[in-house]
Amino acid sequence: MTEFDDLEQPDPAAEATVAGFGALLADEATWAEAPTDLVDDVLAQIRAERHDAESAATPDRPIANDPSDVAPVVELHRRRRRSSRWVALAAAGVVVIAGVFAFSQRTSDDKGIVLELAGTELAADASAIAELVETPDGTVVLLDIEGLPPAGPEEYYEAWLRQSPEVGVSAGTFHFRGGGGDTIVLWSGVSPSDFPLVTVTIQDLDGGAMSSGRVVLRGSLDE
Amino acid sequence: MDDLVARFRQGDETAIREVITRYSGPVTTVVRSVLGSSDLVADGVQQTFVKAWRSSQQFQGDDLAPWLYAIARRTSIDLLRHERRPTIGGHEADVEIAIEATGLDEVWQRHEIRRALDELPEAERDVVRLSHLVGLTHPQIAEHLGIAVGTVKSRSARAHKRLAAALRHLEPGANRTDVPSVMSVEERP
Repeated sequence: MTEFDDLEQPDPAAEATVAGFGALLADEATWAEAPTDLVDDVLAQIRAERHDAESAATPDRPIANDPSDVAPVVELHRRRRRSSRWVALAAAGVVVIAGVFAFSQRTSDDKGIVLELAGTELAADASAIAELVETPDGTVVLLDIEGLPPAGPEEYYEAWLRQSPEVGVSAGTFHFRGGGGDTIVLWSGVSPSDFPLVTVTIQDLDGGAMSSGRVVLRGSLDE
Repeated sequence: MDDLVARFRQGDETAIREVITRYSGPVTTVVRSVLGSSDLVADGVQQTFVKAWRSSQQFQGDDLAPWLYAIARRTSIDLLRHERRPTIGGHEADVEIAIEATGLDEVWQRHEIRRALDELPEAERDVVRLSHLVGLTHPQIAEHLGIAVGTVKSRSARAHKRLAAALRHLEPGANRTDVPSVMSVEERP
């Protein structure tokens, strides 16, 4: 048996097909080697994110209950009201303003709540004042945020009111690309008395409706 | 494969490792095609798999390859956009034009070629690489590998038949209904 006995004969059609992709077959990008240590690097990042998620407030992942990690509640009458909040409410609708104003005026002592949100390790320089105003149609969530970077082009922020580590309701989304000059006005269909924990997460556009688990701000009414 | 997809969707670490091992080649090709020989390639490949893990609960199909391709391409474009913004002056339209010039079809073709190459037996893949990428003749390949010229020719012929079969769907006029189009892949969650 010689070296040519099992010679595979070229197939002209196959040769023509491959020749048609000759330029791409000759390109280094087509043959680029995967980064060294890729598996270890990806798994390390995933483990780190899992660890962060386990210590953060999410509906599908456990929340850390460290009181020192949660900013104190500030009573409504003690807060410094910013005029921009009412400008923002005006943008949300005149009728809504009337309802909110009337309701909050009537109940401001026991319904309107202001609390400070503290930045997590994902946004250590960020802080926020959240004002929760219950109205007959839902809870208005007003956020004055500082030090939070704008969301990336494929990201957005989402605010949540939570009842427990497992149960939370979204209050709405924003991207903060305007730099935070105005109060962010969101609405929630649940009461802060039942959902006393407020968090803000950074979400991926292609990440689905669930919380990403990446909490950037948090505060609690229970502290 | 179905079991791998299911375990990956559940976030099983062994499945994640297997997915990375199996698809790192095509993903690297996509990222490298968009970014060029940039220092960002390693970051782009890593972020592709991390993003895939983050959104694995939303994965609905049974073939991870086109889904990973879409994530890899989007991740690369994001990295490119970040890198180019300071030099272009922040004009989004210019950035988009520059990115789209990369060519959707060509990136997809590179992805599919890389998948086909990675499926070849190693001995045949070496011959194809030395022939097409390095530009060696069959006698030169034979000398380089220390094998007979006839063996090189046989391996080349077999490899080309496998490649042609695997890439038939990319040929002009081919019925592409079985292949996820670039646009539909881009629109997946």
